[in-house]
Amino acid sequence: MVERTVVVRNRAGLHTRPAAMIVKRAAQFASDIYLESDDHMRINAKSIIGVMTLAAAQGTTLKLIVSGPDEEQAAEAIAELFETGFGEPL
Amino acid sequence: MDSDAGGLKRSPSLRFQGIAASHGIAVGHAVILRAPQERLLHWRIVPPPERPYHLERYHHARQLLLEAIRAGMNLAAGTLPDAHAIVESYELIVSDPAIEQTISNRILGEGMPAEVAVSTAYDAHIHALASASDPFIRERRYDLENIRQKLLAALLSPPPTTGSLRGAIIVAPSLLASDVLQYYDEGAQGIVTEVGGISSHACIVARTLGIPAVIGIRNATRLLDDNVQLIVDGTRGLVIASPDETTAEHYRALRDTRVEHRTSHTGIATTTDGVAIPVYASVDSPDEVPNAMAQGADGIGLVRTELLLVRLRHFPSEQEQTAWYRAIVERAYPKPVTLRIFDLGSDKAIGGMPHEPNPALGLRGLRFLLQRHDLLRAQLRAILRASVQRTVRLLAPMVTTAEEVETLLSLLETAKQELRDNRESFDEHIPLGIMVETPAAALLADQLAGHVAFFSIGTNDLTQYTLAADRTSNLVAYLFDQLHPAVLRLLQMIVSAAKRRGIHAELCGDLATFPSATELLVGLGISALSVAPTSIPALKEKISTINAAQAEQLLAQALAASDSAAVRALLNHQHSSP
Repeated sequence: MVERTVVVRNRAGLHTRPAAMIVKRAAQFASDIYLESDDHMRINAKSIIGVMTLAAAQGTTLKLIVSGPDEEQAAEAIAELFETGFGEPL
Repeated sequence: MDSDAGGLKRSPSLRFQGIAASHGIAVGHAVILRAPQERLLHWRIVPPPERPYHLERYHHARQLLLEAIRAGMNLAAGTLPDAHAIVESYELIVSDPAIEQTISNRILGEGMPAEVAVSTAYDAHIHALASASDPFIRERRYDLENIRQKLLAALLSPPPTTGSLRGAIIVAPSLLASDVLQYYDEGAQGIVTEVGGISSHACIVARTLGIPAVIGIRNATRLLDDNVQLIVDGTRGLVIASPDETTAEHYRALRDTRVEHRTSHTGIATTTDGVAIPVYASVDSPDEVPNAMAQGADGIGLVRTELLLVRLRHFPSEQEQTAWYRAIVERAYPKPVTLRIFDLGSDKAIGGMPHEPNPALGLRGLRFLLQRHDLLRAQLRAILRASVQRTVRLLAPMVTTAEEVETLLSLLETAKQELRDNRESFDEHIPLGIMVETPAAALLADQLAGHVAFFSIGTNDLTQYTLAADRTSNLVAYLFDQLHPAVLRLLQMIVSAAKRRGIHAELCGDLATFPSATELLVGLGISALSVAPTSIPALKEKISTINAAQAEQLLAQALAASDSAAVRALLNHQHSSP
C-alpha cells in the first residue's frame, strides 16, 4: 500500500473537469485508489461522483491511498495530476 | 370517498362503475402501474426472485442513456472543447462504479424497485454536493439531477411490470396499444384504466385480443392496491375490488360459462321484448370463417376484399378472386355473406395510383373503381360467380352521390350480361348495398335508399368525416368519438330513412363492438350488427338482456345530449342502475 499527501492547487478546485481527469487516469490501473479528506471521508478515485462529492476547494489537502499490483505507478500518476493543477490556472 | 382511501381498501366489496370497453369477465390480482411520481412515493419491497429483473431494468436504462450521451459526444467533438469535457463527465457519472454498487445493493439487498434505488442513490450524492461550501462544487449537483431525471425517464416509460403477469389485472392511468400487447403476452387477464376513450387503439387491441377492459375509473391507481383481488366486468363496465367469496365464485363461474358459450351460441339473439338482431362476423379471409361460425355468427356481414391484395402481394386475377370468394361463401353456407368490393385509396394503394395529400378525402373506394371499369367488372364477375347459391350480397364502399350508385348498377348489369353470354350461372337478384360512411350519404339516405337493397353503416369513417377528425391522428384523437351526438343523429337519420323505404340498415363499424353502445344501437332500430368473430358471443348475450322499448327511450335522451360526455354519463347511469 502506498500513501501520499496531495494538495488541490488549481484555483477552481476539484470541479467536473479535474474530477473526470482523476477518474479516467485511475481507471487505467488495476489497483484500488482512494482519496481521503481531513474529516476522514474516503472515496473511490475511480468514481467521479465520489471525487465530486469530496468538494475539495483550492488549498485542500487530501490523502492518496493506493493498494494493488501497480500501486507505485498509480500513485505517481494521480499525484502528478494534482501537482500540475490539472493543467488549469493555479 | 377520496378522503378515506385506506378505509375503502379494507371494506369487503368495493364497486367502481366505469365505461365498458372490452367484453368479458376477468378475475385476478391487481398489478398497479402508477404514474411516475406516484411510483417513487408508493412502493413495496420486491420479493427476492423478482429482484434480478429490477437490476436488469436499471442496466438497460443506463445503457440507453450511455448510448444517447455517446451520440452527444460525437456531436460535441471538434466543436467546443468545454462541451466535450462536460458530455464526457456525464458518461463518467452514468457509468460510475460506486453509484452502480450502491444501486445494485439497494435492488438486490434491500429489495427496492429499480426506479426507487436510482432515485435515492442519486439523491444522497445530490444532497452531499448541495452542502459543499464551494459554490462552484455546489453547482455540480445539477449534473447529477439531470442524469437522475434521464435515468428515471428511461425507467418509467413504458410502465414496467414485474416480469410475469399471469392472472393479473393491469390497473394503469392510461395505456398505449403496444402496452396492451406486451401485458397480454406476459399473461395479463384484464385491464382497468383511469382515462382513455373506448375507440382508442389500446381498447381496440383489447377487444381484438378478447381481454376484458373497463376504462374511466378515476384515481384507480390510488384507490386500489397491488395484489388486491379484482373482478373486471367488461360487459357492464364494472370493477369489484376485494369481493366476498360468494361474489368471486359467481363471477368465476360466469367467466367460465362464457368460455363454453363461445362454442355453443346458436340462433339469432333477441331482445327481452322479442326484437331479433342478427350478429354477423366481419372477416378478411376464408381462414377466419370457420371460427366465426363457431362463435355463433349469423352470417358474414363484411368481407374486406382489399385484404386479398395484402395477402397475395399482387393484384388478384379474376380466377384468384373467384376461388377466394367461393371459399368464403362455401364455408359460411347456408348463412349469408356480404362481399364488399375493393376499398382502395391512395393510403391502400396499388401501383400507378397517385399520391394524395389527403387520401381519406381522395380517390378511394367506389370513386376509384368507377375510374377503373376493367378492375371493377372483373371483381363483379368474380363475386357473381360465387353467388350461385343465392347467399351472397354485394356492398360498395365510400358512396357520396346517387349517380355513383346508378353507374355501379349499370356496370353490374354489364357483368351479369357477360356471364350470361358465357352461360355461367349466378344469382340474378344479388342484393346490392352501400356503405353509408360519409355525412353526404347519411343526409341523402332517403334518396339513396331508393337505389339499393340495404345500407351498411361504417361508423369509423362516418365519425371521422362528421367530426372532421382524422382517425389516424393522435393529436385529434380526443375528438374522434363514435358516441358524439352529431354522429348519433346521423345514425338516426340513416336508420329511419331505411325504415321508411323498407330496406335494412346494418352497422359494421367499431361502434358495434362497444358493450356500452349496444343499447343505443338497439334503440336506433338497427337491423343487424357485424363485428370481429371474438366479439360475437358477448354481443349476443348483451342483446338478449336489452329491452328494445327502453332502449328507444335511452336513445331519445342521448340524441338530446350536447356532447359525448353527456352521452357517456347517460350510458353509465343506465349501467349502474339495477
